[in-house]
Amino acid sequence: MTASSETAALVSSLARRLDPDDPEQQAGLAWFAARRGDRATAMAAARRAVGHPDAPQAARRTIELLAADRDEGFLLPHPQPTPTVGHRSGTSPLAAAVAAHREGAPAVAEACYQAAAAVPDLAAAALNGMAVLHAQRGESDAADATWGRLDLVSDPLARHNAILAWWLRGDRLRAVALLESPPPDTAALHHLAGWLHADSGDLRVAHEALLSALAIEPDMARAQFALGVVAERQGDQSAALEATRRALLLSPWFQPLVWLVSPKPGEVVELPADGATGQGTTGGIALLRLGRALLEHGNVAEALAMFDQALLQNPAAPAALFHRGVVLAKLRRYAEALADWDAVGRADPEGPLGSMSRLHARSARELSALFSGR
Amino acid sequence: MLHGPLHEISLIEVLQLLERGGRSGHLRVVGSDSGIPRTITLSRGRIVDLVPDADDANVSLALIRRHLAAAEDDAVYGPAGVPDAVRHATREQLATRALSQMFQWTRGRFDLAEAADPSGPLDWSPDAVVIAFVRREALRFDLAQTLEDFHAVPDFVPPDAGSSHPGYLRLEADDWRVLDAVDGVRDVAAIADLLGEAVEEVGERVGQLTSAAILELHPAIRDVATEARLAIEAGRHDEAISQLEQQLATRPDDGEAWRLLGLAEVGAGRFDRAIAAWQAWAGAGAQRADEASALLGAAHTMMEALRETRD
Repeated sequence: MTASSETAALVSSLARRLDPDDPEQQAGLAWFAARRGDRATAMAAARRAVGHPDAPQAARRTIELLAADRDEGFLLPHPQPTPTVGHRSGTSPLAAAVAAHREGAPAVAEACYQAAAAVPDLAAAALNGMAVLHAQRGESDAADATWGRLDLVSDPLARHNAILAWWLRGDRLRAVALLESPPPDTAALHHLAGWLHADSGDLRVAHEALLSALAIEPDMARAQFALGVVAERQGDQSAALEATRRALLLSPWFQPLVWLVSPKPGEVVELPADGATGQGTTGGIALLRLGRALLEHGNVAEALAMFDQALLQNPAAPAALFHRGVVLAKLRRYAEALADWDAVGRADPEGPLGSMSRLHARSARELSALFSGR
Repeated sequence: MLHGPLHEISLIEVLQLLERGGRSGHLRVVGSDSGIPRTITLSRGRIVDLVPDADDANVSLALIRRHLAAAEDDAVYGPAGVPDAVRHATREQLATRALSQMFQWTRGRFDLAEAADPSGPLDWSPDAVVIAFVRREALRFDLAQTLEDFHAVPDFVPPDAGSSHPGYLRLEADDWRVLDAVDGVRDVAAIADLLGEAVEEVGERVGQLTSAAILELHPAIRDVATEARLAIEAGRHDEAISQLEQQLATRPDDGEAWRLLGLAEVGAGRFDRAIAAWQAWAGAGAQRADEASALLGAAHTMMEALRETRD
């Protein structure tokens, strides 16, 4: 076999970039050249390789095969083994943990957090993530024990998460104590203070806390939303509508409450927190009221956004599903409206919303058939 | 005996539980997407063996396929002459790859037969394996973005263009094998397929060789196979069949076209024609002979089931 001029040029160009005194590199080049049919370069490279005392066996094999006029069976030099499992520089088990945590793979996340906790620079962030994981699983003692290994006063993410966890499980006094000493200094902590004070009925203080959060971070959608909830409870419908609209404008799919974890120093990732113990319902009720008000005034698209947001917090909420069905039917999206009303019927078969949904669904089916020309 | 279905508890969780409990024994795992049962041997919770993927026979085959050893019967250059460290690294790669696939199984079952302190060539904490798995998945995701879903086509930088690159390069066996497979036509996925290696590992090598100005990347070519694959995925089976038949009229040795033709025929419900296509694929020298044989078996089964239903 004779190499074409193109192949010879390619092999020669590659050869110029390899150390002629490195037997392993020359043995590799010999293999490549032999496979491409450039026997002259292959033989020269293999000879250079075997001139070294620690020449790879592969180079000798190449010479033997070329001498026997063979054109297959050439071997590569053996690589230096590298571990396939275990730590490798440039990769972070913490980043892997947070990625798995975000993707809803708790077993993977836990394993990676454990590995990251053994690395001094990553330990604090890993323990915080692990504590969140425990809290999400309802393992309160394990979560508290993990947060107990951290300095909650100086670690703003862990402090935020511990306050949120304690509040969600009904330990309001403990949450307030950690929140107030020292005073909050981040937007996330002020936002949490807003919810805590609103929850205890201190709406004026809640309002101030949320304004403090927005002073630090004006684009914080969830603080705008919380402001809307507080304004609604204060009876100021117009301020409530304005704040909620702004929240939806900033991010239509924001989460009212989040856990904060860190995949690497200086970076924060938000994970949605389940707000089922109170504030989620409060927020949901506020959104429903605002949605209904918008619907009554003919602002159908905005009303739809409100109900979408309410369902994002609680996908099975019958009232939100019922009202969204009404909006969708107004928009002549009958199939989607029917799906919502059917869901209400399943969730609340005996209740008033269920029976009203069945009535609406019947007329929607007729209208749907009418519009589709059947 | 501990056992259960994988749709209720993932293999990762099973291994983590066994590690925490310090259990020893042979964990037999059957995934619905593979007819071959795997056995993971555990010693006090640590993974010490995985058969058949990382057994001696498969390690030897991998060494031969990777051009690191000559045939089995070659006393000097055969697999038996390969240094233990290289054999071990190859075994670890095979085991990692197999476990990565198994971790994604959502159907199938596992059965643990307890045994007193079994031994094996590996010594891994399941958590460490999970971290390696996550790293591979993250790498695959990142590379898919930069390599056009692995359809970018690498080619050699023209000989004069890279000559000003400073310093000597250090190429490893895997680099040489990738370079050997580069022909300016195959995309990264096809190179991985040809080499029988994981696409993210080949993609990573291609990225490094591109950074070293040895290779350059060309945009993905939307060839007949790609077009046909898209048509099959979209349910346009007859369109795919027409494209593939045209391709095979001029290139009857195109194994991938035969393979895809079989898939399209199955999609169209014509199992007899699928069998004919896959037989032609096997005849055209299918790289993945076991896959060809499995597909033929499946097509026969489906055809017989259909016939029984009709009868």
